[in-house]
Amino acid sequence: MTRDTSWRRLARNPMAMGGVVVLTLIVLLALFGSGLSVHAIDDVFWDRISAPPDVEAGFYFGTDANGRDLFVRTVLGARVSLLVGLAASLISLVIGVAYGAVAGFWGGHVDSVMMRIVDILYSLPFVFFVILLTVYVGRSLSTIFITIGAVIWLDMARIVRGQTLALKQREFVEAARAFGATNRRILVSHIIPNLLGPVIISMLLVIPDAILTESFLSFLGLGVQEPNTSWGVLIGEGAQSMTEAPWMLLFPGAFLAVTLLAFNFFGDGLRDALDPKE
Amino acid sequence: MLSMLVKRLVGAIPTLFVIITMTFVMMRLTPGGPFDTGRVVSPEVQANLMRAYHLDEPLFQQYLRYLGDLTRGDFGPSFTSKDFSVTQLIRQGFPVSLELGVSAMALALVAGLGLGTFSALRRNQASDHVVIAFSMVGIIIPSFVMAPILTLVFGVTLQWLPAGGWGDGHQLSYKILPVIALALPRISSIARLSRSSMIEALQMPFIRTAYAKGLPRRLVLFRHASRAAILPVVSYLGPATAGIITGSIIVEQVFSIPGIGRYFVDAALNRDYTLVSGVVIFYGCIIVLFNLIVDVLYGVLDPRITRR
Amino acid sequence: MAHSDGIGTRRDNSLGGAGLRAGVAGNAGRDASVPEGATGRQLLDVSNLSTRFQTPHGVVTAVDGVSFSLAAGGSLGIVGESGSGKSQTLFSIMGLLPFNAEIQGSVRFEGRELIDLAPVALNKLRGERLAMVFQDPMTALNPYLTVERQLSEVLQYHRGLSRRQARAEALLALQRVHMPESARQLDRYPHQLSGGMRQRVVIAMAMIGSPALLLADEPTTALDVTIQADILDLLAEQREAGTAIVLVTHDLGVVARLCDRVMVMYAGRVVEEGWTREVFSHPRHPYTVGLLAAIPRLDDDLCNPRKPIDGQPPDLLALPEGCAFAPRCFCVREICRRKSPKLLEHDRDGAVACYRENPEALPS
Repeated sequence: MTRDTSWRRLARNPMAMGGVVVLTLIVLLALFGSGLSVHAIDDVFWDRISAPPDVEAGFYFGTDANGRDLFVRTVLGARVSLLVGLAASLISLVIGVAYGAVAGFWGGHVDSVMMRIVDILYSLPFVFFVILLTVYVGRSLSTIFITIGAVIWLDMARIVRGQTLALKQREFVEAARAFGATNRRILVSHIIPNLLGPVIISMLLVIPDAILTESFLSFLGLGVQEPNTSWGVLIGEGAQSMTEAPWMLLFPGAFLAVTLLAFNFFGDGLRDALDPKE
Repeated sequence: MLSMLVKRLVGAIPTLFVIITMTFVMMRLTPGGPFDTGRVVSPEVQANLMRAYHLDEPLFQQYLRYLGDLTRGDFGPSFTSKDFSVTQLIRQGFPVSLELGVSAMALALVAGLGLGTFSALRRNQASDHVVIAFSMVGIIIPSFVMAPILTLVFGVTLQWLPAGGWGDGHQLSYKILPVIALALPRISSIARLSRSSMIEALQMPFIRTAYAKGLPRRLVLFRHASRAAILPVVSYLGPATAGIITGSIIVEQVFSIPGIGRYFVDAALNRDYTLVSGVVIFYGCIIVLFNLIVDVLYGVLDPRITRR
Repeated sequence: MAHSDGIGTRRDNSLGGAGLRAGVAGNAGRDASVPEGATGRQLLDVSNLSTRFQTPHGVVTAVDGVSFSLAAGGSLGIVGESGSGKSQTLFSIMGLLPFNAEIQGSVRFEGRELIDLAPVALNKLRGERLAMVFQDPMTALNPYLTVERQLSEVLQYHRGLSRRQARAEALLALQRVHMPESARQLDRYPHQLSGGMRQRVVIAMAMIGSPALLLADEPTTALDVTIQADILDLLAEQREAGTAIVLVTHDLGVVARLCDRVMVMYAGRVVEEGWTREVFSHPRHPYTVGLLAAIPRLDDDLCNPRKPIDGQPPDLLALPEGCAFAPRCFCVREICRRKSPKLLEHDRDGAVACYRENPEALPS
């Protein structure tokens, strides 16, 4: 079965496996990291504003400009960044699957027009539109991932549409039709379940984009707001205090970079495992 | 050739319309209206304001008025900078952003093509792996992490270059770090792209024919292989521009450069609707125009497209 | 070291293997298309040529101890199935092998040794004295350059002609290959020409330097049947004008049309060679017999169709011990499976590597 050999191929790829390990660690850190830290998230230490790391006192990463422990804030940042990334990906999944499946299934003119729209939207820098949306819609946590998801569904739609077109030709669809199934039923019961595989993979590849977009916004101050924090916010604060307290930039920056790298290696490995170009 | 140009031009118009319409719709459909500053105003003042900004007219009429204004280059007044119109602000900031962007693109092309070709010719040797690793880093590390680090290392710690600012606009030292920061992700992408396209080009059968004709290596590379290898890079110029425009937001912020990106961020923070929308439309038009130019360029380079 | 375009490595004549010429001790090389007994330096002298490829799955010996000679103006056809090594033989002569290839043996052209020749010297020969025509004209031509450019650059580089002079020569070259509307075609791109016209361009490109030797790798295989005849006529013209030709093909009809002598290859080795007329009327090797028997004829009985040769082409990574053709041979014997027969000359100015013909063809 192709699926078994795909997993085996993936397992043999050291970079991809490394990525999986790193991601697992990060997720664990996000979930349970606050247990590791000595201090609480909103504990303020007036005597330690922008202080360097001090392991014995429990400030593993130092403190930020408000005297808060950077380690615990980085952990919280991980939680928010990953959560927003995941939520935005899910939104993009819903929109993308709906759009792509409809386009692929109906085919013909409807498909051409719908895909033309996708082509148009694809050439535009979507960050601008996300920012535009946040200006109008506001910057609560939920609106952030909705706006991100509303903009990055394009790739998903393309992939889903391609898969739908291919599936449409397969025999079991013909068989279902021969039994008198309506279009809607075919779409829902036959096509969508078979899209699961490629869709899940696309989602894995979209999550780092979503995290990156959220970090981009938060860096500029247009994303996650207080009292929440994300890696993007921390990096932005770090960039401002760079001269006196470089650790404020380097720790969250390293975490973000490593997470994105891990996602990319894993994603590349997954793509190679499922579609080897030998 | 001309017919292709016209066709592409016509194809670009829907894109422009989509941008403009989307922006307009968002602007007008915001609940609470643009004057929701929280200040209490009397009903007469409110009505006057509405009339002054044509907000009392039917939606479609407002849309047409907006289109009309746009064709005359009028993006409307800035909501926060009371003394300036959006057009004026864009006109002020654009030359700076343009210089930054063009320099970054030039650097990205030169460095990216150079590295990519170098790497392709030394395939699987140590230097190739170095280039691949470098480009991997450049693509993945976000610019808002890279730019501050560059400033930290070169501007603050080593103090080789100024850490920020644009000087009076004519000093090279202020431009070096921001241009590099903006170009870096593009250098990585172009290096990667040109490497693989050069490797692929060198495996084409017509390369073997060229060698069979007794042509020396440099001729084969520069006349035969490069033509084939450059095409994917040309295709990438469109997304590269979009990336540079996006990246300029960050770079102008980090290095305190007075370009459009900077205005855009301030406008977004202050909820200046017209300025934000105006910049989005402006940059959108630039991207559409640029994609058009790239399409034409590609047609020139690949005769299979323009001549049947 | 072998380059991506160059011929590679060590000269090592201690290679054993099938195809070794023995029994004609002291004879440095064979004369093709020159009557027996004539002497004189040969235009092309290939001796014990072997080409091996390092692949992830093992070492593939594409050419295994091939030897032949060609006099000026002569014509030799090399036939065999895909994987017989016939095309690789040509590439080895031209020095167009990839960098995982290893060549041994000797290839003398106009008295000069080509293997391990310095790239600059090799480039001087290629395109001018020694030229090649490839199989698929669509991919052999650069789609991004005009016809004129691809023709002119040969003379610009080799003879230092100016662009204008070279362009005039390019026009002449196109006329010599009977290109219709040659002036107009000069500024066209390959994709604008038909298949037959493209192949004419390829031939024009090869002939523009007036080479003494033309190597052709299945020049008509990718073309329509109707065009094939035209191209073959064109090649015949070159031959009549004095250019020596080595033609690789799997089509025996082409050999009959164009080549005085023929060499049959199987699994990288020469199994039979001789005058075309002789080999076609009296094939000696079972493989040759099979090839000839498989050609359909007008007087065939449709109820008893011709039989192709049994079995599959050999896997070059796992060649059997003994004669490579043994698994498919209709008169195979015990000795065939144990030891590979040597190529031995017979009395009709040819040679064959088969125990049936030469019971004493045991390798020493």
